[in-house]
Amino acid sequence: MALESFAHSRCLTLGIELELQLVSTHDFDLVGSAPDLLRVLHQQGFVGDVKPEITNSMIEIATGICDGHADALSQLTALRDGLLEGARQLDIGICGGGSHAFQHWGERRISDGARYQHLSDLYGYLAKQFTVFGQHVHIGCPGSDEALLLLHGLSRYMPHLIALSASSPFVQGRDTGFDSARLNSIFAFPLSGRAPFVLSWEDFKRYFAKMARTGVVESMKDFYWDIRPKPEYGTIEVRVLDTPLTVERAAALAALIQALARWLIVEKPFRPTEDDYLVYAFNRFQACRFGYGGVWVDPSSGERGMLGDEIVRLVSRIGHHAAELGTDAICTRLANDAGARRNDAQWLRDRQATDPLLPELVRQQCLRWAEP
Amino acid sequence: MTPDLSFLPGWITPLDTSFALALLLVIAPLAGEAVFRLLRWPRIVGYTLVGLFASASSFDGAGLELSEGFRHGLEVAMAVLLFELGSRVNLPWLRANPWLAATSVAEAGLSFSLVFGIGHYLGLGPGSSLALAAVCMVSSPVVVMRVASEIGARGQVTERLLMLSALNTIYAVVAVQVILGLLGQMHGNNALEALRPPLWFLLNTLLLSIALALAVGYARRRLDLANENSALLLLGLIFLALVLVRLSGASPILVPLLAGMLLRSRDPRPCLWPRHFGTAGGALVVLLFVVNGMAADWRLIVGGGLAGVALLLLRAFAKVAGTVLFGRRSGLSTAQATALGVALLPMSGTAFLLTASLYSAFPAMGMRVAAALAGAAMVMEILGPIATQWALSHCGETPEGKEAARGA
Repeated sequence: MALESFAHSRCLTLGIELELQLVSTHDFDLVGSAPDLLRVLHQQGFVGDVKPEITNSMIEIATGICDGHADALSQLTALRDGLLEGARQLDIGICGGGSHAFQHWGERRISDGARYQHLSDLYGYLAKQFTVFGQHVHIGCPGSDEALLLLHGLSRYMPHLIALSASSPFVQGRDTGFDSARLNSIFAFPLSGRAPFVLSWEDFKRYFAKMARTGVVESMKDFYWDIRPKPEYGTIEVRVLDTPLTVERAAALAALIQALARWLIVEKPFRPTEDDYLVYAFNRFQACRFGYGGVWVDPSSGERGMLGDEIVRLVSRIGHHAAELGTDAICTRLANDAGARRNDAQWLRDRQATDPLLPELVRQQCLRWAEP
Repeated sequence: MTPDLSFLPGWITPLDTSFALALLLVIAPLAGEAVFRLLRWPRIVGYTLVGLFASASSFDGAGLELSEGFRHGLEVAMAVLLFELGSRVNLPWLRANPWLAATSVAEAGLSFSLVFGIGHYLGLGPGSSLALAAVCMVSSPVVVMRVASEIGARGQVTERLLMLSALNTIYAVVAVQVILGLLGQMHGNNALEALRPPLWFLLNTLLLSIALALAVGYARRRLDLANENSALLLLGLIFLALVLVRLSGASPILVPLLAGMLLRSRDPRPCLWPRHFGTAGGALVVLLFVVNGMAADWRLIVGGGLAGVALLLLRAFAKVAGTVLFGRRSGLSTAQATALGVALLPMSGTAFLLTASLYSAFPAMGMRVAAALAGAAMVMEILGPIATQWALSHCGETPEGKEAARGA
């Protein structure tokens, strides 16, 4: 299958996808209620994009094309409220967070549907281990070459976004020590990681054709990269974020990515090079493992800094662009969180320290998600 | 595969109850496992079959039943299951989903009406027909809870099954009390006199369940209930509550059930403890099903046989029709609503207990109800758990791993 051509999209528009957890209100373990929820939402006349995911205790919501933060937040809030109404009828809980604190992957059930069954046959237990929950942010790009330039420019800031969004410290009933353990589940896939360093769409098409000829991939969907182009939307898609515990934070993170993109597109502060990726895996690991406390190596200068401080520095550097987009207050709040070393992973650890019962922690997550 | 005990030499029978008990505790789990491995049925079918064969071969059943302490132990087992069930019932769900409440009224109401109809047709008389109808509303909460937890069922049908079973148990206990009150009035007491006992009964029941809920709530704030020792404390609290139930004439069914429900609604923190409160509770539950099997009397079944079959069919129709009626509006697919109706079919332990309370009040009427009921209840003791298991796995609410393990 050939790569589709890069569609037109308005520059710097946003689209947000959130993968969410469906839990029982009795023991707060995951429950395979996605088909029930979809049916009830349909009956209730729910308007909005809601889809099943690879295992049937996950559900994905997506906004339409948003102009900016305010639009994205209001769309996400409407989606959340609609979903909660369906969940109330079924007496199930919905929550954010990149991982479920104590589910056992072996108990998950692959959703019906040819693609999911194919993935399950191909990847075996990895498919069930893939019951992790991420936020994907689409950014509209003026053209296909610009999209690739933006993709490789953004990639050095993935650790910043990982630390800010991290919300998966607990996996299979244990504190992993990671702020974002979710990404470990994704690294297990052979086509995960980063996009190849090509800066023209023609080169990218050639790369894709070669990969397709080997039979390893059929479509862009088979790449599980941290950032990937989405030609049919005319966007690039940032996929490293854990689903935050609230829609407010999800919208704020999208606003930060939008401001970053504006800075990269308008100012062109540096020219991405292949060598930027020498430190990529190291930086990303540090962010997953230590969050704000991780080391960040500047790919241009080779200088080392602490990620939390780097985030504060970055936000002040792009402050002008955030102000242009009307999101400077939102981005500053994220910088303050980084300065104070506050993220959702920390929130989860604090709660668990007060009450070690993990089902109670998941209940708190549900309450947090439903907060108006 | 189920051991027939008649091969035992005659000298064993006169031995004391503890020997019978020990033998049952060895044979019942073996039979449970055999039934599970060979037929893929719930283990409790095996326990019940052991009970049935034991009573049929007149294997010291009487001795076991007479032992006071033993009977109390079994009441504890039943109370444990009822308490577990209650703690899973989330009453605000009924407000969020009124069609679920409608489903509950429909399935219980239809069962009541149709069974009353057939009782009347068979010439049981209004009193007995009413009592029979009330008893047949119940979807044995004990069987339902045990099967659902044994196969690890999770999902919409499971949650609704537990909710509906808890509700129809409450309806039935209250209905039986009201009928007793009404019958008392017919026997010449004045209205005020007739109403006093059921009101007392409900008041005592309510007070005791509040006390039990408070005690367990207090314990769980200070102890980790997932730990076996704390679970024993729960067992003790329930035992204590049952002793008070006997002294005050409250309902041994409603007190643990309501206490569980109160606990869940008072404190939203998840209630999690070892299944059946650990090994001690688990052993009692096995014996409970064995004795349920023993309580059935073959002679009664022959008498009430055909009526029993008619009753069963009508009741099954009522349960399924009741759940399908508002199924889609309450958010289920038609297949799920049908499965829910089938899963609600079990009737056994609770029905017998209710009949016993009728029997003690009005022996003649209790006997007649028991005769009509016995055939149905006996058949359902075997078929009920199988129906529930089939329904839950049919709509995909049992874990895949278990299915695979069963095949092995």
